[in-house]
Amino acid sequence: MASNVGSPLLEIKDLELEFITEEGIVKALDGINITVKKGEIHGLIGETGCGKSVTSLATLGLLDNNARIRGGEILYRGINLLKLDENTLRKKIRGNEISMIFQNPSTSLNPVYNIGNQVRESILLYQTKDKMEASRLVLSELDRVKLPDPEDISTKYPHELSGGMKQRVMIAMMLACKSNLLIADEPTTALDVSIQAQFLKVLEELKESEDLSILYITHDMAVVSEICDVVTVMYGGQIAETAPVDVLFKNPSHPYAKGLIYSVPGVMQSIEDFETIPGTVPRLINPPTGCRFHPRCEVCR
Amino acid sequence: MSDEEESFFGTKSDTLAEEIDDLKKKETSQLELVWKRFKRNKLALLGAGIILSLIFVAIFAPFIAPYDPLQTHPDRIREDPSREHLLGTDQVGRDTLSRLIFGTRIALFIGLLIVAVSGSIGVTLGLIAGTYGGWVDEIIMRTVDTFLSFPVLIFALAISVALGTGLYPVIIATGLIIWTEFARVTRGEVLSIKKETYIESAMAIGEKKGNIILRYFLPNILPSIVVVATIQMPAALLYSATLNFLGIGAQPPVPSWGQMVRRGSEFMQFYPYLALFASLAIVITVLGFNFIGDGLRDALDPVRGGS
Repeated sequence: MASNVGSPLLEIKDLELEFITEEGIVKALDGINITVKKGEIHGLIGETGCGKSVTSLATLGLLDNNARIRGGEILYRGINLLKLDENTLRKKIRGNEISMIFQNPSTSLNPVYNIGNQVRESILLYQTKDKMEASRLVLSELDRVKLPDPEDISTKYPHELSGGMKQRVMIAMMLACKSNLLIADEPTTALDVSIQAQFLKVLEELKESEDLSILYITHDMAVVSEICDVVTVMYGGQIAETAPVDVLFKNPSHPYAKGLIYSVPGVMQSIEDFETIPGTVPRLINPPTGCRFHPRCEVCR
Repeated sequence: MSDEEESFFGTKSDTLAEEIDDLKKKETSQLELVWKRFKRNKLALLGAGIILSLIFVAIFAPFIAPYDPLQTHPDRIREDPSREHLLGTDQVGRDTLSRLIFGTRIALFIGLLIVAVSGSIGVTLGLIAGTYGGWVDEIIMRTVDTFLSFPVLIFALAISVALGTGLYPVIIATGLIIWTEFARVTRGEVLSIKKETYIESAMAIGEKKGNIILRYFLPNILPSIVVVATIQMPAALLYSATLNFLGIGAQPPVPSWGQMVRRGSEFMQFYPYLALFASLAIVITVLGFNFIGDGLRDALDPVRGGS
C-alpha cells in the first residue's frame, strides 16, 4: 500500500488558526502538521468540530472573514499558499492544482443548470476554450466516473439525480479541472452504504489511473481502513496521531485513536461489548491546556 | 368507531396517493410544479386573467374602443352612462370607455418601464452589495436607507418639477423610489445562498467572481426578483397615477387614468361617473398585479425551501 508514495505534495506545518466570534476567540487549529505525499490517499479523521473541514478550507483560502491564521504555513509543492493573494489562489491553485468535493452532494450542484452544462463549465476553465470540443469532453468525463448513459445524464438537472450520481458528477467536475490534489470533505456522509462502496471504488481507480493524491476527510473508520494509505487522527484542533493505516489499526499509540478504533461497531458484536469514549468533544473557546484529550483520557487518569 | 377507522384509512391512502403523485411530479420540471401550485390559487388565477385581458385591451385598443378617445363633442358633455356611451362622457364630450381603454396602454407602459429600469438598477446594486460585502455593501445599503427615508411624494414632485412635465420624469421619479426594494431583496437572497455548497464548489474550481454572480447568484434568485417585480408593479402604477393626479406626467389630451380621476374629481358632486370609472380601472389593475404577485410568491416558496 505504502509502496507508491512519492515526494510531499501538500505540507501543512504548525498551522494555528482562530475564529473570532461574539463569544470570544475559538482556537480551531492548534499546531497542525499534515503531509500528503504524491499518489497517496491520506485520511484525516476525527469527531465533528475537531477542525478537519477548517483545515481543508484554509488550504484553498476559502475561510470565512472571521478566521485568523496565527501561525504556520501551508506548503503546496514548496509554495506557501497562505502568502498568495485571492487572485493568484483563484487563477493558479483552486481547481488548477487543488480541487475539493463537499459533504452534501445534493446541494453541491447549481440547481438551475443541467449536468452537462456544469461539467462543461470546468472543462472550459481548464481544458479547452472551444465550446464544441468541451461538449464532447463532457461525455467522456461523465463516463470516467462510471455514470451510466452519460448522454442522458448530461441533459438532466441536479434534482433528477440520486445522491450517489450527484456525488459522481461532482467528482467529474473536479477531475475535469485536471488538478493534482483532491480534497474530499466527508464525501460519503450523505450516501447509502452500497453507493458509498461504489464511490470509494471509483476514487481508488482514479487514484491509480490519474495519479491523483487525495486528502480524504471523514469520521468513518471503516472507510479509512478501506482506502487510505496514511491516516492522521485529529482531536480538538490538534493532531493526535499520524501513522500508516495498517499500523494505526493494529497498534494505535494515542489513546484517542485507540478509542476511535474500538468504538467502531462490528457486524457480529453485541452492543454491550462496545467501547465508547467517555465525555464529549471540548469547546474550543476555552480548550483544556496541554493535550486537549486529557480530560477524557483513560491513560491520563 | 368503524366510521372513524374508515376515515382514518381513507386519509391514509389519500396521502399515499398524494405521495405517489408527488413522485410522478418529480419527473415534471420545476416550472410545471410552480404552475400547478399557482393554478390552485383562485385569486392568483383571477389576477392573471385580469392582467392578461388588460394586456389584450392595450394591444388591440384601436379595435376595441367604440370611439376615438380624443374626439370631443361639445354638445354631449358629462353625459351619464347610456347605450351609446356605456360609461358616459367627460367634460368635453369624449367617450369615457374609449379613453379608459387607451389609458390601459399608458398605465401598462409606464408600469413596465418603471419596473424594468428600477429593477435592473436595484438588482445590479443588490448583487454587488451581497457578493462583495464589507464597505461596498455598507455604501449601497446606506444609500438605500437614505432613499427610503425620503417622503415619497414630495421627493417625486421635486424631481418631476426639476425635469419638467411628461412621462419620463414620472418614470425616473418613481423608479428612484422603487429600486430600493429590488436592491434589498436581491442582497438578502444573495446572502442566503452565498453559504450554499454549490457556491463553495464554484469557488473551489476557481470560478471568477463575475461568473459566480451571473451563473450562480442571478439565476437562483430570479424567482424572488420576479415576485418583487409583480408586487412593485402596482406600486409603480399607484405612484404614477398619484403624480398624474397632481398634474405631473402625461398631459391632456393624452388619456391617462390618473389625470381622468383628477378631471372627474372636479365635478365629483354632481357627476361622479368619470372619477369613479377611472379609479375603478386603477384599482382593478393594481389588484390584478397584487393577486399575481401573492400567487407567485406562494407557488415559488416551497420549491426554494425544498430543494
